Amino acid sequence: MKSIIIIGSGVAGTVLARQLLASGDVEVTMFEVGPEFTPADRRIWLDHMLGSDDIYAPFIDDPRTENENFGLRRSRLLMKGGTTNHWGGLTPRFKPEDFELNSRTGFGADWPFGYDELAPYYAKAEVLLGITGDSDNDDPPRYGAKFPFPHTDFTQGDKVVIDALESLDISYGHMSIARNGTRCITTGTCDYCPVNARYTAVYDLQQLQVEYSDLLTLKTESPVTKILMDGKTRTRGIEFMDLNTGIGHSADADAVFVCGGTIESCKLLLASADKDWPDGIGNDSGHVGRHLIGHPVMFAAGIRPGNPDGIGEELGFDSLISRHFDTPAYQHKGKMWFSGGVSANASIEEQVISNVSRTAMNAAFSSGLRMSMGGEMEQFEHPDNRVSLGKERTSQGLLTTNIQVGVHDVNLQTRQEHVDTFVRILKTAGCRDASIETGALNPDGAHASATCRMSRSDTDGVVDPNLQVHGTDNLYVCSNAVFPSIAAANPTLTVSALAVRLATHFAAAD
Amino acid sequence: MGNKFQIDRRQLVKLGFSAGVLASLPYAGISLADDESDELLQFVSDSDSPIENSQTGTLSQREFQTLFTLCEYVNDVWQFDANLTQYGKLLRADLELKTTRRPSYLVEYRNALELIELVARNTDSVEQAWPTLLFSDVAAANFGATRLGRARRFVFSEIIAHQIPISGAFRSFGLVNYRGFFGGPYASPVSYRRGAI
Ligand SMILES: Cc1cc2nc3c(=O)[nH]c(=O)nc-3n(C[C@H](O)[C@H](O)[C@H](O)COP(=O)(O)OP(=O)(O)OC[C@H]3O[C@@H](n4cnc5c(N)ncnc54)[C@H](O)[C@@H]3O)c2cc1C
Ligand code: SF4
Repeated sequence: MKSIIIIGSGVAGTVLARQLLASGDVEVTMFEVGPEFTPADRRIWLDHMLGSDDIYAPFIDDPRTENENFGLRRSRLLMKGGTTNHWGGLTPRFKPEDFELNSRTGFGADWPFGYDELAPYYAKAEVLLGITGDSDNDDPPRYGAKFPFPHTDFTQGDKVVIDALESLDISYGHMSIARNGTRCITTGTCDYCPVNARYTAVYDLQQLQVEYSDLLTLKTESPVTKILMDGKTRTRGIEFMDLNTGIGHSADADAVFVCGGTIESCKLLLASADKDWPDGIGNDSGHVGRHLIGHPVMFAAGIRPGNPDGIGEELGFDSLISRHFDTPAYQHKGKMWFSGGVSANASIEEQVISNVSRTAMNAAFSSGLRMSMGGEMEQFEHPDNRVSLGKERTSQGLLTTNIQVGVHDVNLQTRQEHVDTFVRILKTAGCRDASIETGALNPDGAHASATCRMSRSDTDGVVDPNLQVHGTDNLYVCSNAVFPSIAAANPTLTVSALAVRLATHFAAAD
Repeated sequence: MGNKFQIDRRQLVKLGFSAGVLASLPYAGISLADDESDELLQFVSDSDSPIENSQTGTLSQREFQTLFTLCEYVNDVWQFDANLTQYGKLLRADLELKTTRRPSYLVEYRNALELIELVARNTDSVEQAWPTLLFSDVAAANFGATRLGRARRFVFSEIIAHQIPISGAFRSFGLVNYRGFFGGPYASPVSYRRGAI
């Protein structure tokens, strides 16, 4: 039996653990810097739903880990299950052209394989994550694979957006999203689901701990501080700290999988420098920590006068997506997907608490509809972008993070074009000019990617096409960090597909 | 492009934008009676957590009934017309979770109960105490840290935020689903209104 160490209990580590345990003669020890956490607990749900407690505040980064151009706070979560505890669960696949960014545009890098290689793993990941989606939509091609749950119907609010899209000839479709169709009861408090209907790694891992109680060990509050090498090519295990005692320990393994997310995975390789790898493991060509990219976010909102049908927000998650600008034609400018919907000006409870009379509430409700559009675009890497190690340790036992980020001119220009598109849609839907507000955010840690990018040759990246660190025999990285480029689509389905592919490769190589 | 307003990605997950509440105030200009002010505006704590929150316990049925008059008051005044009988059981069970598990709200609830009793002494009934408890204008700089400020934040606002979705109060606006309400499976035609495409 092989002993496996997985560093990080997020979705990458959890999907990987599930596949490795199912496919092989392995025992897995998973190390997680953050503490335990219980999903679908009614008391925690109440605190979240009533707004009495920011339930994720204890798990956000130590304040010393921050950068104004690429914020980490309020993005990744350091806890059992990692960042999917508060993700949106939107799961579009990347498109075929996304794997050929450099050949098609000259920006960034190509993936070492194409869409068709990943397609079967996408289908498996969609089942594992419990995705609802439109199985008949073949952009990108599904090759007959069915989503485990049928797509949601469009809401009344979607219809308002759709009418505008149709008159502008902008295509749209059903969002694919991680909402288990047999469990979801449309509560709309998805940041903490009361019934485990939105996929979270914390719930998946909890199940896994029951299914494989004798083969899976989870060590929480145990940051891994170093990967230990036996010569240049073989890892023999790791060093970790027990945060409760402050004492350091080591653990041996036949193979080590680094699944710490984009920021921590590259930092751990850098922090593991030794005599054979003086600049950090896998960093002989200097790519570890470089190429950092994320998703710039754009948004616009406005008020459409009148609401005779009493439309309100009744489905608490997105059911509409437009990938009209997420096509090869837009690739050289920065592709984008977007969603849109309606929301109330203020919640009913907020108005009662603010002593707004029923008459005034009725008048406000029927007087207008707040429409909002939001989207994410592909970021091209800037040569300055990199993550490097700070010198101090945070309260979570990790080294602080230095981030250097520049914004690509092309991205700046295109993001304004995309915002202008949102404004056009809002105006077409009837929103008053004066009511329209727009904005954009720089990328942040939420979709951070590419700091240990995949490449065929060790001169171009950090891991090979099977996610094995170049120049090593038994050390792997499984994270958004391995993406050579980020596409416009959200990253998590893709990293989950890569985890399934990696486990398949590992079992076959055995 | 300038960032006209501040928003973070977690908020953007829902792509929602909150504007200020602009509407008329039905109870503008209520002030506290002199004999109430000292007690109600006594400084307690400016902590963001419920005070003495390791003290757990269960509210008596009478204590619960007194708090529940808030739901009856809100249901009547805002014409929500929700059936409160079933809702009362759900609220009771959820308040039990708030007082028996940590951080416990027991001491905050008992503080609120004392204030309700105090204000009700000057009115004919507990029901009539609610406008004062909820909406009286108070200029105190550290209002949030006072007995009344904390009761509004930790007790009254939370109960109202619970009531609107869970009692079905939102239905009076014609909505069929609302954040916090268990609307049923998304495949069910009654869980939310569809847009005819
Ligand atoms: C607000 C928000 C919304 C999002 N919405 C979406 C969405 O709708 N769709 C989508 O596709 N993606 C979304 N994402 C992104 C998504 O959450 C990430 O892609 C995904 O969680 C990455 O998974 P991971 O397992 O690689 O990393 P993580 O989930 O971050 O897990 C890594 C884990 O490793 C642990 N760790 C790190 N270093 C160490 C160490 N040295 N020792 C031990 N443990 C360590 C961390 O504590 C963490 O628990 C969103 C992100 C945010 C912040
Ligand atoms: S809408 Fe569905 S996924 Fe979201 S909180 Fe409710 S049950 Fe969970």
